[in-house]
Amino acid sequence: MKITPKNLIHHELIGLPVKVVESTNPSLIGIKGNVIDETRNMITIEHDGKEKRVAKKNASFVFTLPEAKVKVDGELLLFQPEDRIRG
Amino acid sequence: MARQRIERLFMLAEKQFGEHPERSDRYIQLARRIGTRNNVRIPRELKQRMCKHCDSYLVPGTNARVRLRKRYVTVTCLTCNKQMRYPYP
Repeated sequence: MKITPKNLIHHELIGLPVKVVESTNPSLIGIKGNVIDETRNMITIEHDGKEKRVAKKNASFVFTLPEAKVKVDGELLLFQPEDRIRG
Repeated sequence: MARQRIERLFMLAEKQFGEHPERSDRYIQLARRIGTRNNVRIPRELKQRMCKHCDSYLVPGTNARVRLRKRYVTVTCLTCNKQMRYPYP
């Protein structure tokens, strides 16, 4: 089974291309690149060769899967990566 | 799901090893945590590619030394210099 829009929020985010589309911090909007790390509250994105850390809270992300683009509210990702597996 | 994420993290660790070895080690750390939290074992062939002691991703010849002993194989992690052993007939 691979990553689908349905199981994305329980699957591994590292390695996926992502774009920040909404945030209460306007300077973070528009950051895009591959996810390289994830902690409870932050996602690290490689943007133009630089590592940018974006808070999950108060932000939305668009993840690009091979067959679809999925918009995810950062609030749904507010877990430690190892706790995000089921609910 | 846990199993898939572990496999994916090892794949990513392999991909990043050339340029960003510190990311590989982080991915191994995450993979192990997923395993512990969800009670899923790390498959044997992947277990042999990581250090149990310091969570490094091991590449034999680069940061790991593999030697055949009498009835077991030893893998020495060249980051922490500790050894792991597994048997062979």
